[in-house]
Amino acid sequence: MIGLLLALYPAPWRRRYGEEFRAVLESRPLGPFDVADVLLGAVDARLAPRLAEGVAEHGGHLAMLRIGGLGAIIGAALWFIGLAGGSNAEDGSDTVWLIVSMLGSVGLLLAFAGLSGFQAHREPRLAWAAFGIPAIGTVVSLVGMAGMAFVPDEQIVGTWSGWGVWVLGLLTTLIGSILFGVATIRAAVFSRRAAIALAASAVAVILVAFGTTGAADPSAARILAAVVVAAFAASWMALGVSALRRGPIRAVVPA
Amino acid sequence: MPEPNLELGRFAEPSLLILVSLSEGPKHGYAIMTDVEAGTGRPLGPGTLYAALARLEERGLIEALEPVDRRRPYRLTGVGATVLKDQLAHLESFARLGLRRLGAGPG
Repeated sequence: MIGLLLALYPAPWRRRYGEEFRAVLESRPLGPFDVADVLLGAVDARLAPRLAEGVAEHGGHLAMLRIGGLGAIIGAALWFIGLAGGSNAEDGSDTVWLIVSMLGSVGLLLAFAGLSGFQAHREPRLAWAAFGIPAIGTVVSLVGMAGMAFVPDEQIVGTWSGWGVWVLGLLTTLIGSILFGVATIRAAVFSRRAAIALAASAVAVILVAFGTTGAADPSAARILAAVVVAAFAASWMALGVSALRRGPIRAVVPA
Repeated sequence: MPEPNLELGRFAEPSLLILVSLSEGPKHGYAIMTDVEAGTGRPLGPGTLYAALARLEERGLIEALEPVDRRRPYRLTGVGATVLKDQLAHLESFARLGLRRLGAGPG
């Protein structure tokens, strides 16, 4: 009887829910109400075949969310540590810090991909547009950092040195982060505060970088730059935390 | 009642009952069914249960865990918890309105 009822459901549905559904049906004697209910359920499953297929797709979205959240938290932290360490290192002794910063950039790249993938569920065009620019920028900055770490005195792309490529990549990443922040605010999937902070801090980093070039007081400019870069990294981390908080939790509604 | 944009149709009420059941922790299908039946005094058929579970899972309101034997537990996601809170708050205010009107109406 149970096998016959199960056979009424479409194959994708049986592949996803068949075993556990059979276990439920075997848990107690089936009455006329249960049989009628299962028959209606089979009709429903045939009328909405996308349900069983959509579940796997959604599982992918949750995985993206976790990868993106962790990428944002760990990536931003490493990126900032590498940048801060490298800026205080003696010339020629900054390779380790560059590698740390590169690992951080890889994390941020995962964050762009994962969080955009999840947001794309809500705002497909905007989310993917906001993904493209910063992702390209991050890849370019990675190439620049690799150049600075391994061939510091050579031109790696045309007449561009590693440092020049890194600056170009960083600028693109920052502009992309502004877009990403705006897309996140619009999609309203993650923390709006973190998204606003991300966009604002990215603007601040660009303004400080250009505004303090050749400043009369280099140490003040350096402190200001450290503050805005730290704010940028902290915003990414806050966004990552907000992404992870959207994941599963045990109980949230008071009894 | 679940928000209209969730488009749960005739599965809106069973879905809400399932979310409430999962709000105290992960449960497998049969445990949800018996919990809902114990809480409401009304039967929840297995066909309806799985039609609602599939919709809730597709919308990311619940998540399937690794099966234990053949039974697969489900748990509420963060999104599911937020939606459930909103809906319960909406129901609460609606119930208060109804009770107030009953009290104010002709006896």
